Amino acid sequence: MAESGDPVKILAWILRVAVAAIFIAAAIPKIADPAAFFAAIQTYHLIPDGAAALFAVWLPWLELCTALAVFPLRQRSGASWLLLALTVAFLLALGQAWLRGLDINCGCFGGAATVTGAAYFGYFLRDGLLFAAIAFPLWQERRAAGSSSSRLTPPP
Amino acid sequence: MRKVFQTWLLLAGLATALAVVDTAVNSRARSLVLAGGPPDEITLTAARAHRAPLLWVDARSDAEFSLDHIPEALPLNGDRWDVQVTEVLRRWQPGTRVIVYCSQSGCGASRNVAERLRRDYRLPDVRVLRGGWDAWRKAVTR
Repeated sequence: MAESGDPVKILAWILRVAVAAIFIAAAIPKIADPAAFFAAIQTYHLIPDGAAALFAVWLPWLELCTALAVFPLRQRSGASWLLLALTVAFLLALGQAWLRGLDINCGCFGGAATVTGAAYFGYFLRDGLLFAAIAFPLWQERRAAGSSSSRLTPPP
Repeated sequence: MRKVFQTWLLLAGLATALAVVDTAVNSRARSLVLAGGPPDEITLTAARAHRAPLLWVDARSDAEFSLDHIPEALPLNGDRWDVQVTEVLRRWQPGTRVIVYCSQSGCGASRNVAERLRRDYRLPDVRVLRGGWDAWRKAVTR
C-alpha cells in the first residue's frame, strides 16, 4: 500500500484502482453479450468477421485479467504497461475510424454508443485521460525505484 | 522489460484459457465463434432458401433507399421511424421472417433496427443480413 504522507504515492494508488475499475466495468458487459461487442467491432472495419468474432470473446477476458493484475506486486508493472498498450490501440482504432469518416459503435462498455462527427472528440479526450491515469502510476513507480537505487549507491 | 513481456504472455494465456472455457459453457459466445458472427445474422443464401414469407427492411437512409433497394423492401430508419414502422407492422404476418439490412457489414443501423423491432414490437423472427446491401448488390450483379 501507499506509504502514509506521500501524496504522489496515494494519488498513484487511487488512479490504479480507478483504472482497474474502469477496465473491469468495460469487460463485464462485453463478456455477458459478446454478440453486441462483435457488432461494435465490425463498425470499425478493421478486421474480417471471423477474426472479429474471436476477438469479441477474447478481448474482454484480457481486459478483466489485466485490470485485476495491476494489484499483485509481481504483475503490476507488466499489467499497467499492457493497459497502456490497450489504450493506445483503442486510440488508434478510434483515430482510423475518424479519419475514414466512419460512424462507429464505440463498444467501449459493451453498449451501443454511436460515435460520429464531433462526438469523436469526447472519446479521444476520455481515452487520453485514461492514458494519463495509467501512465502516472508507472511514472511514479519508476521515480520511486530510481530514488531508492540512488540511495543504495555508495558515495565515491 | 523481460518481466513485462512475461506478464503479457501470462495474461494473454490466461485470457485465452478463460475465453475457451467461456466459449464451451456460454451458448452466446459459442454460437458467435462457431458461426463467425452473431446468431441472428443470416447470409443471403440462407435468406433466399428460407421457405416462410420474408419481409425485407431497409435500415439505410431514405436517400439511399430511393436510389435502389431490395425488391419489396420497406424503409425503416431513425429519421421517420414512427411513420415507417406502421407500414412494417401492417405488412408483417405471424410466421413472417423479417430481415433487416443496411449498407454493408458492420454499418450498425440494421442491428439497431432489428433490436428495436424485437424489443419494442415483440417481433419473434428478426434477422440481420450479413454483408447488407453490398452483399445483395454483388449477388445480383454476378
